[in-house]
Amino acid sequence: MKINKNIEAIIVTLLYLSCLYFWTLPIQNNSMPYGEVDAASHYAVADYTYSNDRSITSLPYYIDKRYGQDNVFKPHVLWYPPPFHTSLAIGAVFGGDSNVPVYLVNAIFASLIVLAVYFIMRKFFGFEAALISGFLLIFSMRDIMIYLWGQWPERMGFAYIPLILYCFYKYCISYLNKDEKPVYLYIMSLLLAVNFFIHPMDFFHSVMALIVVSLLFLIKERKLFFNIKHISVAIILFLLVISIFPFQSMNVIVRSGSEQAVMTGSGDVSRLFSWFKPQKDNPGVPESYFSYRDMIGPLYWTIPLIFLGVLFLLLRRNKKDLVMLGWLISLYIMIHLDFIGKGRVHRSLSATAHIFYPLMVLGLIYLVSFVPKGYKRVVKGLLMILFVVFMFMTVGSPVHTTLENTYQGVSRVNPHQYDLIQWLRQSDVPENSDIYHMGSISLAKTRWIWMMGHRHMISSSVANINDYNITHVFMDYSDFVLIGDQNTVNGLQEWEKQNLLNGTVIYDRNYIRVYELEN
Amino acid sequence: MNLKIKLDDKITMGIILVLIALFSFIFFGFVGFKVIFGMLLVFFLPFYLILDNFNLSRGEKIIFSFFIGIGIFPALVYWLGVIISFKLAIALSFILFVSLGIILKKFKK
Repeated sequence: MKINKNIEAIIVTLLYLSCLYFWTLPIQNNSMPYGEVDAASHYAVADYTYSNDRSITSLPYYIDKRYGQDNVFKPHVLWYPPPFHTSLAIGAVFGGDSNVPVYLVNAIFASLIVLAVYFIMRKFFGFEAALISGFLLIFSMRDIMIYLWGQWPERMGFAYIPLILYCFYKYCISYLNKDEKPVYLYIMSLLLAVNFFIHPMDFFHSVMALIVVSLLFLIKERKLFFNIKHISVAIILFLLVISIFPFQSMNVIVRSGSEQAVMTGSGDVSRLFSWFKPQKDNPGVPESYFSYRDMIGPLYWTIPLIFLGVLFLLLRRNKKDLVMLGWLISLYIMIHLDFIGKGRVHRSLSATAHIFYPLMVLGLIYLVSFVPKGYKRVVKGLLMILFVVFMFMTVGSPVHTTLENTYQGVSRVNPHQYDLIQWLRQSDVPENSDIYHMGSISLAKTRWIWMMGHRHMISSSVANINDYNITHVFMDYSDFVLIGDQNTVNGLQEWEKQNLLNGTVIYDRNYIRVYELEN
Repeated sequence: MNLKIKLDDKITMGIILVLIALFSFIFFGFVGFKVIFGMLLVFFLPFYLILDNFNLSRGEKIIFSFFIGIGIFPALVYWLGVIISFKLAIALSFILFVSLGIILKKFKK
């Protein structure tokens, strides 16, 4: 379908704004931060940068207590390269607050895969294929789950893979056509460097995809398809850019050399014939995360479409097709690294929809190619509409419900806890205090109060008060009062009477007390 | 099928900006507006000006400038923010990258 570029630009804007509407549902009615412990860490770095009006060089005490050793190359500094969190902090500066702005910027970043896949599909296979692929990715449940839990940079990093592959393809084509355009290689190099900054695992996905696509090109062309001089400049550019953050870049290198994943399927040949097998080392990940039907779509008619899409690419085998096949094969390799005892394969699994949805669309287009010419337009239009409607009904609706109902009630910081957080940030409680959170409903909740309050906290849900040299106790009845759990409230009151007789109350408001202990 | 509705580039850009502004205001109020347009300003604009000096299609320039901008712009902000105020670092980085785009354009002419 030919479409006016200006109309297309408006349609893409509407597509992406629809995506943002869905992905920001969790903060549209409740501005309190949410997510698991990882989310709190990302929020903390951005929030501290924003509220102190300075970039972080050495970690402040409360962040250091948890993440001080995460940079194995140089402890007590940022463990991720700073651009991702600095971007969130820039958003906070523009918004004048850490909560909604950080989450809004993150929603934009995490959903960039929609734009990236739209872009590559548009360039390779036209407007309809791009529009439907982009639309389906708005409802990719696995992406959304990880986004909600808090592996924010990982979500964003995957969006770079299609763009990196596109640049590589453009350069190779220009070289083979004797009209060399090294600018694509240099842009690829910059995108790879940014990809490295955002998340190392996604960077390794990109590298693997480049290796596989190069091999496929080499098999097809039977000759070199690049200029050594251009490649050398691109590598130097990449190295120069990543050297901007030596401590964090070296952390990635040292970690990737030393990390040993705990694998169950190592050496198991049957593993090679299944897309994924849940492992023992991913506790806390719900079973539905590993289900194709729950995460991607209805089994019986979407899988045949994926196979048709692959068949279409295999039969045609032009260079665009090889890029798509290379991307698929590289993902297969990354998801099967457990076979050799490597990788964080359940995380790699989350990139499945990025290639499966486009393949489904290509399968559909291939199917239509068998329709006699006179009926093709009508059948194609009808099939595409039916496909989108069915997919929306099966995957769109649960995604909407998930996003609308996520982290409700006491799973987020409640207003009483938020009052305490505000007080704590301004208080005289020393920055190197160790506060015991008695009445913690979960580790994640304590982590949020800890990171938002800028003071180190130890959750009563995971540690005993005597395990640490505690300076303060934060008696928190608020969550249990809000959920009406009187038994736990009684138990907490009893504990408070028995253990805090010698403490001095320094905060006493709305179901919360903070004691200073005499050490 | 050939959709032949003619739209001027400037009108299209205006419509897109109005759509983004409406979205930001409706769902996030003035805070959302400031965040989204602030991001477009600092992550996108300077790098679009830089990439505008190369032989790329408009779509490529738009996509690449944003994806590169969200990694490279904060990299400079971070290091400047170690020495000066973070807010000032954002402003200074913006000026530096926009200047680079303008200088490249002049140099190319």
